Amino acid sequence: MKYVIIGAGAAGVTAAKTIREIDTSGEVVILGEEGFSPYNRYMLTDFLCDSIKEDELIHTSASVFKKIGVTFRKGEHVKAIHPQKKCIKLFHNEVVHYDKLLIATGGTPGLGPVLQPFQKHIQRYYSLEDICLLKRKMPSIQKCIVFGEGLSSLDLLCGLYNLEKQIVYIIRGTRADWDLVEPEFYGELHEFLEEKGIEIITEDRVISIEKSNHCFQVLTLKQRKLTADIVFAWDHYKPNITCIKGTGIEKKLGILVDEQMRTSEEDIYAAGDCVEIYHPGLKNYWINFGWSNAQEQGEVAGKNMAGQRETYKIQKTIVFNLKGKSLRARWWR
Amino acid sequence: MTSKKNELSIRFCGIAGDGIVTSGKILAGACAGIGLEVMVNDIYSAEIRGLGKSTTTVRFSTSKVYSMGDGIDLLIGMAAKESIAEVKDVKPGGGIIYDSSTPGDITEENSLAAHIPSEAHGYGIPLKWLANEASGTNRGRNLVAMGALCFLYSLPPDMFIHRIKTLFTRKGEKVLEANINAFQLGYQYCEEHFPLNHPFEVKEGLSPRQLISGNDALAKGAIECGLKFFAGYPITPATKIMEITAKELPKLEGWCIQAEDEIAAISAVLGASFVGKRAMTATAGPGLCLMSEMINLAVMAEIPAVIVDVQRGGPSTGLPTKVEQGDLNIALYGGAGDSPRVVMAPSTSEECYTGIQLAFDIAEKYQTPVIFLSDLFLGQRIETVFIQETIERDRCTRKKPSPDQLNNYLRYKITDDGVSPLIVPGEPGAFYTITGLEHTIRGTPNYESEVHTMMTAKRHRKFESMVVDLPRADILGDKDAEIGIASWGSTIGAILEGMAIAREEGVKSKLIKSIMIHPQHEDSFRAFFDSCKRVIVPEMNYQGQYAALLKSRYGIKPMEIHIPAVNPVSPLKIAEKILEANHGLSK
Amino acid sequence: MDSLSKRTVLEGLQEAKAARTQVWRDDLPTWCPGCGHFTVLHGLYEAVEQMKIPPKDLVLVSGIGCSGRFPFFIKGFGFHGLHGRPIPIATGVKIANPDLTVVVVGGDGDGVGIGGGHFPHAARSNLDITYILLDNSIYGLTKGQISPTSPVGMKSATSPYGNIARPLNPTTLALAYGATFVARTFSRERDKVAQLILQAIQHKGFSFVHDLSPCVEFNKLITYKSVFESVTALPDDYTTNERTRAIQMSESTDPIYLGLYFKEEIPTFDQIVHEVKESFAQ
Repeated sequence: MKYVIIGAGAAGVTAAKTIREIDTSGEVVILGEEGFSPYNRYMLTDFLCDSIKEDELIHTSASVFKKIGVTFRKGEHVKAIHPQKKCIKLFHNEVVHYDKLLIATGGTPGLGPVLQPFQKHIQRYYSLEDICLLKRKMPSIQKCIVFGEGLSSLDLLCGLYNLEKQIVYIIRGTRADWDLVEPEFYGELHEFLEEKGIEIITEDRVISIEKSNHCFQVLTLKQRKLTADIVFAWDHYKPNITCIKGTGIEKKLGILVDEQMRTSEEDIYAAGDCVEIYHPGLKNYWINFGWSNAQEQGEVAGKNMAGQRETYKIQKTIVFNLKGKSLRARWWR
Repeated sequence: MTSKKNELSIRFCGIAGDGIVTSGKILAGACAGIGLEVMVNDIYSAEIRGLGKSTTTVRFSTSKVYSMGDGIDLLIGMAAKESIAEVKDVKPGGGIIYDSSTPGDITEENSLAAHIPSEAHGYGIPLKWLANEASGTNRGRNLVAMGALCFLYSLPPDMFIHRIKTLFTRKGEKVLEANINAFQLGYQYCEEHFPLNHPFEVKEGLSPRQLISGNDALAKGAIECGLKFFAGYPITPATKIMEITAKELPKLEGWCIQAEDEIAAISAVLGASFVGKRAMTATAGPGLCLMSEMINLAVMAEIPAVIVDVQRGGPSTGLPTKVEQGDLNIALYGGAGDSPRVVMAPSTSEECYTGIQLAFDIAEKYQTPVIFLSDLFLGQRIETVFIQETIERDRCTRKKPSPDQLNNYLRYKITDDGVSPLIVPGEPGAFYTITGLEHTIRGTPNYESEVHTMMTAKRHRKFESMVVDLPRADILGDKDAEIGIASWGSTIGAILEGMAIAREEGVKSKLIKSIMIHPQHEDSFRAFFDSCKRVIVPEMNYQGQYAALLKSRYGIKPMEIHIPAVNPVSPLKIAEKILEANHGLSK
Repeated sequence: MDSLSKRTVLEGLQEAKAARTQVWRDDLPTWCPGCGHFTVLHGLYEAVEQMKIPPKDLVLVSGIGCSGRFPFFIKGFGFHGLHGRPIPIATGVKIANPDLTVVVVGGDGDGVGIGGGHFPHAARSNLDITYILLDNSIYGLTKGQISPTSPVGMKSATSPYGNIARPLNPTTLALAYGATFVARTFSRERDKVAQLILQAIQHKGFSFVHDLSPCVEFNKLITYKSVFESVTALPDDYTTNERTRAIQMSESTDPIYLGLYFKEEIPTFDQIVHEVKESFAQ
C-alpha cells in the first residue's frame, strides 16, 4: 500500500505519523513544497526575534522521518493529479503513483486586485523562507507599515515591537480588536497597542506602494502619504488548491470533504486549511482554520486512509494557538 | 539557514554534449580571476565521445587548496540518470540543481529529484526551457546552471560574464549574446524562486591567479629550461605533454616526434641527448616497461635523459583513465643489473614546473637518466599556482673537458664525483663510441672484473655526489609532533588537509615531504624518523612501495596506509588514521 | 674457406693497414678473417675520405651483433646501441643535429627482426641518413641461429628440423617502405660496394644499402660461392625511377640482382623541419 501526502504542514505530517502507527509496512511519502523540514508555523515570529533557534522551530527532522520509515521530500510542487491513473505529476514532470492520496496543501495569505500590482514591494510574512529573508533585512529596517486584519497581524506587530521597530498599523475597521477567547484583553487591545507606541490608522486602506532608493512610498485611500523601510500587507487567506485543477474534485473556496476527510474522488482525502468540512447538522460546509484543527483533521484523515473509520468533530471556534504562553507574557520582556 | 562560507566544491555532471568540461573552465576561470584558490578535477567514464558520462568538480576557497577535499556542496545534474550516482557525495546541507523542464513523464527511478536526501536541498530549475528562451536551442543549459549557482552563492556575476566573453567571443556575437543571456536567465530564475541563498565570502582586491594542470606545467617548465627534443607515443594520461611540445618546440629551434612505439621514443631521446640536446619523453606505466632496456643503456653509457611517467592504474593496461601510484618500484628497480636511477615525484603543479627543470639539471650534470613520476590526478587536474617565469637560473650544463683532457680524451674518465668531462658530436678535438657493454675509461668494450667493479662504483658514486645539488626535504605541520607522516606525489595534498582536520581535533602531526625519492638527503629523513613515536606512510598502491623503500633505507616500522586507487584521496580518511595513530600512542 | 673469400680478407687487411688514413682507428676489427663486413668498412672509409667528413661530424649508429662493432673501427662518434634499435636512435641524432652525417649499420636480425617495426618509419620519413644492412642470414655473434632472412629448410641449433618460415627480403621491404635510395650489393664486389655506399651517403634522403655479406664461420648454406653463383647486375636498360618495377626485380632470387634499384629526390624530413622552424624565426 502506498500512501502519498501532498503538504508537510500540521495536517500532512500528523496524517503521516498516524498512518505509520497503524500500517507499519506500507510506503508513506510526504511531499512538502517548502525547502525545510516541517516546522511550527506559529513559532515563526519567535524565530524572527531570535528567541528560538532553527532546530527548535523544526518539529520533525530528517532523522525522525528516517526512523519512522517515512519518505520526506522537500521543495516539491504538485502540478497535477490524475485520479483515473491514480498518480500525481510533480512540477518537474516526475510521476508518482499512489494507492491513497491526501491533499494537505494548506493556505496562503494573498493580495486582492488593488494591491496585486505592488506585490514586488510587499514583504510576505508566512513561510520560514519569508522569515529568513526578512531576518537578513532587519538590521537596516527601522520603520514598518503593517496593513491587514486578523490574529496573524497581532503576532507580527508583537514581533516587530520586540525588535524595537517603529510601526504604523493600518486597518479598515474602526478599532484594532479581534474576537479572542481569552477575555483579558478584550476591548482593550487597540489602546494597548497605541500605548506601546504603535501608530494605528483606522478606516483606511493602502492603495499604492512605490519604491525610491531603499524606501517605500505608501499612499492610502484617504490620501495619506507615508514612507517606510518595509511594507507588510495581505487581503485574504485562501486555500491552496491549484493542484486539483482538472480533476473534477468538488470544491468551493476549499476542497469539500465529509466527516471522514474524504473528497468526492475515491481514495483521495484532504485535510487542514485547504478544506471545507461537511457539517451533517447544518447540512453545509464549514471552514476550520488553525494549527491544532489541522492536526486533528490530519489524524482523522490518516486513520481513515489506513483503514480505520473515524469522524471529525467540527470545532465551534477558531483557536489561535499560542502554545500555552499567555498573551501577556508576549508583550512584556 | 544562511551560512557564510569561504570554501565551496561544485560538481557538474552530464553526458557528451552537456558542456561539462566548458562549465568547469568557466567556473574555475571565474574564481581564479578574482584571486581565489582553485582545483579542478575532470572524470570521464568513456574515452570516446558518445553517451559517456563525465563530471567536472571545481573546488575553490580563499585559502590554499591542496586536494579535492571530501564531498561536494552543490551537484549540478545536467543529465538526471547519470547524476543519481553522484548524490552520495553531496555534503549534508548541500544542494542539487536538477532540470525541472525535461519533457514527458519521468519515473521515480530516473528522477534526480527523487534521489535527493532530506539533508540536502533540491533546486528544480527549468534549464532546458530557459536555454531555449536564450538561444532557441537546448545549448546553454550549463550556462543557465552557472547563473543559478552564481546567485545561490552570491558570487559577483561579472566574474562569470568576463570569463564567458573570453571563451565564447571567437564563436561570434550571436553565440556570445545567447550564452550571456542564458546565464542571466538562470540567475534571475534563482533570484525569484530561491531567494534564500548562501553567500560565499569573496575577498576584495586579490590579483588574478594562473590556472594550470600538472601536465601543462611540466611541459612549460621543460620547454622553458631548454628542452629541444621530445619523442613520445600517445598514452593516457601523458599525451598532453607531447601535444604541447609538438606545438611549442619548433618555435624555439626544437622538435617533437611521435614515434612508432615507446622503444623508438626513448631511443630517439637518447640519440638526441647523445648529440648534446636536452631531450625528454613522457609515458605511463606500460610505456615505462617497454623503455626499461633503453633506460638501462642510458645508465650504463651515462647518457642524460628525462623520462616522465604519468602514473595510472596498473599493472599492464590496467585502468588507463584512473590514478594510482604504482610505478615507484619499476622506476627505482626496473633495470637489470646494478642500475641506479634518479627518481623524482612532484606533488603539485608548481612542483611539476620547477621539478622538471631540476630533473634536467641533474640529468645533464650527472649524465644519468632521471625518472620523473607524476600521476594521472596531478597531471590532469587544474589548479591555481604562482609561477614566476622570469627567474634567471644557472642552468646546469654538461661538464666540459679542459684542452689537456681533450688531447687524450677519455669519455669515462674516473673522477672524484664520478662525472666525466663530456664532448658531443659536432664538437671538435676528440671522438668516441658509447656502448651498452661494460667498458674501459676510453669506452672500449671490456669484461674484466676489476674494470666492471670500477665503472659500477663510478656510476653509483655520482648518486652520492649529486645529493649536494638536491633540495632538502620539507617538514610541515607541528614540528614537535610525535606522529610523523611520509608520503609522495599527489597524495601529499590530501595529507596536508587531513593533518589540519586532525589538528582541529587536537592531534598534532608532521609531514616530511621531498620531491626526491632517490637519492634523498638521508640525514634529514633519519632525524625526522628518530623524532617520531609513530610513523604513518599513506600512498595509493596496494604493496606500500614507498613504505618498503623507507623501511629498507631507514629501518623504520611504519603504519602503512594502502589507499585504494581510482578516487582522489580523502583528507577525512587521512585525519582518521592520524587520530587512530594517536589513540595507539596514548595507550 | 674458399679461394674467393681468402682473397677478400687479405685485400681488406692490407688496404686497411696501408691506409692509415684519418678514418682508421686504433681498435682492430673483431671479425673473422673473410667476413663480408670488411668490404663495407672499406667502402665506408672510401666514402668518408672522398666526402671529407671530419670525425666530429660523423655519427655511426649500430645495433647488436657482429655488425654492431662498426663504430669502434672508424674515426668518428659512435653509438653502439641496443639490438634492433639503431634506427630510432639515429632518428634522434639526426633531428637534434641535422648537420651531422649519420650512418646506421646493422645486421639482418637487427633490421628486419627485432628492429622490423622501426625500419618502415625511418624510410617513410625520408630522414637524411644512410642505413647499411649487413645480411648474412644468420645470427653470428650468438653462434649461429637462424635469422629472418634465412632460407627455408636451413638447419641450426634452434631449428634442428629446418627453418619453416620463408625469409624476408630487405631490399623489397625498403622499396615498399618508401625509401628514396635503395641498392643491393655483394661484399665480394669491393669497388661496387664502395661506389654505392658513397652514392648512398651523398643522396639527400633515406638511403638503404642491402649488402649480402656471407658469414664465413657459421653459415654453411649461404656462402661466398653460393651467393656468387646466384647474383648478377641489374640489366643495362634498367631505370632507377620506377618503384613498382624495382620491387618486382628485387623479389627475384634466381638471379639476385645487384646494383642501384631505385632513387628519387623528394624533400627530406630535415628540410621540412627546417622550413617549419624558419617560419617562426621571422
